[in-house]
This record gives sequence, C-alpha cells and structure tokens, in this order.
Amino acid sequence: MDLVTVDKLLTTTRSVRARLDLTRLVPPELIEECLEIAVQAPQGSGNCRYQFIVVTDAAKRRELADLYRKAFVQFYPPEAIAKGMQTQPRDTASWIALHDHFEDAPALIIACTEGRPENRSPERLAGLYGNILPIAWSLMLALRARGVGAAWTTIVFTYEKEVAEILQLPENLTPSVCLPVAYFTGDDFKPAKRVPARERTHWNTWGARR
Amino acid sequence: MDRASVDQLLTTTRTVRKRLDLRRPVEPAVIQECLELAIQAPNGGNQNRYHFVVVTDPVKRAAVGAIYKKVFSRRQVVHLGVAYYTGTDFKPGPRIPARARTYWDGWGQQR
Repeated sequence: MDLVTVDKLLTTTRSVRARLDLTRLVPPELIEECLEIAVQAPQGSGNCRYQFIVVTDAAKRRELADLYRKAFVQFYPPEAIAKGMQTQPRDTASWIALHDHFEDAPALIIACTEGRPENRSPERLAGLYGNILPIAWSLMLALRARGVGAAWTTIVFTYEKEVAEILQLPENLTPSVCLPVAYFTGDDFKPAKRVPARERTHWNTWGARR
Repeated sequence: MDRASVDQLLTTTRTVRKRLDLRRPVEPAVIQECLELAIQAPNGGNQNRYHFVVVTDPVKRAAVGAIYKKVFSRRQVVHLGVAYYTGTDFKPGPRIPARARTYWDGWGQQR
C-alpha cells in the first residue's frame, strides 16, 4: 500500500468550514459512492446498524441551521468567541464561518446508529457510538480524496427531538454526527497543531514513558 | 490523491482477529508513529483530550485478557489488540449496502 498517500490522507483530512465552496453542488452519486466505501469501516460484530439521512432540501437545511445556531451560542457565548479570537484566531474564525453559512452547504449528511444511549453503561455507550463513528470518519476520508470537504459537528443534537421531527426519524435511532459537505477550495491542507501523541502515550501503566 | 489507494485502504481495513501474527512483536516505534498520524483526525474544538495506554507487559496483557474473556458474551470493544497480520488479501466485508440505509431529506425517502 502506498504509505505516502495513506499518511497524507490521514494527516490532512481536516474539518473544513471556511474553505467550503458553497456555490457548487455535490452530485448525489458522489455522496452515495462515498457512503458505500464508508460502511466498510470495521464494526464490533457485523450488525450494520448504520442509517444515513442526506439533507439537500433548502428549507430543511435552513431549519437545521437555525437549531445549530441556537446550540452554538450556548457552547460558544460571545465572551468565549472574543477570547477565542485572541487564543485560536484561525479556528475561531472558521467556527464562525460555519455558524454563518451552515444552511449554505449543498448537503448535510446525518449519520445515525440504531439504538439509544439512555440507560447504557459507559462501555456499552462506547459500543453504541462505535457502530457509527468509524464510518463517519471513513466517509470524511473518502469525500476528501474526491475534493469534498466536511465539518464534524454534533452540537445540533442539543435539539435532537426537533431534528428528529424535521427528518421524521424513528425513535430507536441516535443521530450521532452531522456533516455539512461541499467541495473545498485549494488543496494545500496541512497537519493540524496537536498535542503530540507521544506526550499522551503511556506504556503499560499510566505515566510510564518508553 | 491516488483514489485507488485510498479506496482500497478504506474498504479493506478489517477488524483482524484470526489473522493476527501473535509470534511477531509490533515495534513500539511503529505504534507511536501510527498514534501521531491518528491524532490528526478532527477533534471537537481542537481540545486534544486524547490519552493512550499501550499494554505490552505480558502480565498485564494476561490480566486484561482475563477480563475480556469474562465479559466476552457482552461483546464490547474497549481496547485494540494489535499484531502484524498474515497475508495481504483483505476484501471488502459483507455489509448492508449504504444505499439501502440512505434517505434523502427525511426518513424513508429515496432519491
């Protein structure tokens, strides 16, 4: 396998917010192709519990965007945004760009798992979300290889009941991640600033370095 | 980007159980290199909340293994067992096609 391509894909697939080309439609066939690739991600026991809602309808995108913005101010109140502009100006500007244009992405892909988180112990919660999060990440990678960016978002599910109502979701479903998708502009994505994994890797016992 | 390589990677990365080569150690440097790549995945607000514990000590692996066996019937996955695999002929897995589970603009609506 071509490690250069693989490592580039894995280190330069960013959440794209400010660089989404909102004027260009993403063909539904391309979304379907990427979903078929994504469901090949490993899963715990082969249960195929995934379900996807692709929202292209402009009125529904607007309704979801309004919920997103309602949640956004709770997570990022004005004082947090002001502080963010000092400490993480690029990230913060990109969050604001998404906030302002959430409904303008030509498609919102909502990845769901069958099953509900209520009354689950922590390890069974990990199992529930483990059904869908590797798929959602594979979806972002497949889209990125085709020139399409996506932003990983979850705060809209602060209003999960309203989301379920807009999309007529069955009750046993957990919408887990909402990806606004659009072609990105430019292709010079770089690895992000992260705390190096080696500073957070413990060998055999907490705090032990190699 | 070489789409054939990308699609092969994404469709043939299986959960490997029976084909793990348990006699061959995985170099710690390889594990660390992969962790450095992995943390480039998006994380909420770039808060970098990840921590990894790598267990190579045989006594601790045995203890974790004993717990795994005890709760096996609950089929939970809370850690990754890693080893080199044998062969390289992984195929896409059997899946319900995503198109059978994809709805457009509302539950139950096909394109």
